[in-house]
Amino acid sequence: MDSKNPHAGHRSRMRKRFLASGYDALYEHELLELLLFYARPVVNTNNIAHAITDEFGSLGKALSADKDKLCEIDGMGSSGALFMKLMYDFGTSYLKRSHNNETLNTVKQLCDCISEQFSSSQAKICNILCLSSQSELLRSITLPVDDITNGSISQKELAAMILKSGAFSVCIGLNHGNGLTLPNDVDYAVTRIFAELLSAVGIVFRDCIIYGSENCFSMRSSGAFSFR
Amino acid sequence: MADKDKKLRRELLKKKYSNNGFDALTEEEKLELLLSYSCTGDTAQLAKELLSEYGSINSLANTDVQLLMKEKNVSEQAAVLIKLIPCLSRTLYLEHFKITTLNSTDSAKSFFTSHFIGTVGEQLIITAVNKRFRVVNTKVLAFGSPSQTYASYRDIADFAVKSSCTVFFMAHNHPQGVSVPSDSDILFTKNVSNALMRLGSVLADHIIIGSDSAFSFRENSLLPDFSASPLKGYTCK
Repeated sequence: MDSKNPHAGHRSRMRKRFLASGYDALYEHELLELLLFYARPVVNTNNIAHAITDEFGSLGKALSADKDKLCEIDGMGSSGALFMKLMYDFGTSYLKRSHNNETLNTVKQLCDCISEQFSSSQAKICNILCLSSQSELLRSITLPVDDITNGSISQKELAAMILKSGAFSVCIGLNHGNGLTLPNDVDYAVTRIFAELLSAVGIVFRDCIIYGSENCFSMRSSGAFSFR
Repeated sequence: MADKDKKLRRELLKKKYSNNGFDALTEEEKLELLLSYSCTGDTAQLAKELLSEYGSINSLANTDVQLLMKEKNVSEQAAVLIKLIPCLSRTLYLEHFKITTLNSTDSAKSFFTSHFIGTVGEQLIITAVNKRFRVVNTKVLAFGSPSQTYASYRDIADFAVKSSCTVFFMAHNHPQGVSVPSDSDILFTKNVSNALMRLGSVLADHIIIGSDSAFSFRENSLLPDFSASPLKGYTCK
C-alpha cells in the first residue's frame, strides 16, 4: 500500500495519534495538516499547512477566511478552499443546538408522543424514546417486545443503541393495540429489564407508558412500578 | 451505483453546496458530502444508514471513537474526519472568544465550556492561573466518573506544589446532563479548597459544564471562604 502513496505511512501514524488522544495530542498546524489529507489525497500537505498558517495566523482564522483568499494558497485551489469552507460550516453547526425537536416535559406530552408513534398499529412493539437533559426527543427506537423478552436483542445491543443517541433519560411505550391499557406480566418483565439496564448505564428511567384503544396508562403516575 | 454515476453525483452535491450554501443541504446530503472526501464506496447509502442509527451528524460526532470504528463501512479515515468536527468547533470557539484571563465567572464558564467541547465522557481538570488570572496551564485529573476522586487529592497537591501559581480553578463536565452539582461534588470541592489553603494557595472556583449550561460554585456560595476578605480580582456575575 505504501508504494502507491509515499505519504501513506506518515498519514496513518498521524491519524492514529489523533484517534488516541484527540485535540490535545496535536499542534494546530498538525491538525491543519491532518485536515488537508482529505482535501488533497496525494500530495504532502505539510507545506500547504505551513503556507496557510503563515498567511492567516491560526487554524481558526484560516477556517473563517474568505474562499477566494484560500484559493490563492499554493496547492489549495478551489476544491481545497471549498473543503475548508465545508469544514468551517460543520464546525459552526456542531455548536448550534437544534431547537426543532419536540420537548416532552409532562406525562401528557409523553402520552401524546407514544399515541402518535403507535396510532392504529396492532403489533406488539416497544417504542424507546431517548430524551436529552432538557427532555428534547433525540431519537425514537421501535423494537418487537418478543425480541426484548426472549433475549434476541442482548442487553449490550440495547444499551449501545440508547447510548448512541446521547440520551440523558428514556421513556418506553408498550403497545396493546385495541386491548385495554392494564399492565400484564410481559409489560412488567420489559419494564424490569429496562430498569436494570438503565440503572447500570446511568441513564434516568422516566416512565413506561402503555397504549391501548387510544388510551394511555403511565406506570409512574399510577404507582404500578417504582422508578428511582 | 456505477463509478461514473458516483462521480457525477459527488460533483453535483459539491456544486449544490458551493452555489446555495450549507443550509441548502439536507442532513443526509451533508453527511454524504463529508463522507465523499474519505471513502470511495457508496456514500449515499452509508450516510443514510449512519443517520438512521445515530439520528444526527452531531450525535455521530459525539460518539466514542471505538464505537464509531466498529460500524461496518466506517474506515479509519472516515472516523477521523467525523471526529475532526468537534475539534474544529473547539478551535473556532476559542478563536471567537479568545479567553485567556479568568477574572470573572462568565469568562471562567466560557473558557471551560470551550475546553470540554467534543469531550466524550466525564473529565475533571485543574487549571493554574497567575495573579492576574491569566491561564498558565491545565492538567486532567481524572477520566470517567468523579467518584474516582480519592486518587485526585494526591494529584491536586502534586500539581499545586509543582506550580509557581497560587490560584487554581477546577472544572468538570456532565455530558448530556445538567450542570447541577451532586453532594459528592460539593464535599469533594470543600476538601480540595481546604487542602489548597493548607498549601498556601486558593481555589478560585469550581465550574461544572453541563450540556446546555454552566455552574459556578463561588457564585452559589458553595466555596468555603477561609480568608477575611473575598478573593480579589475575581468577580461574580
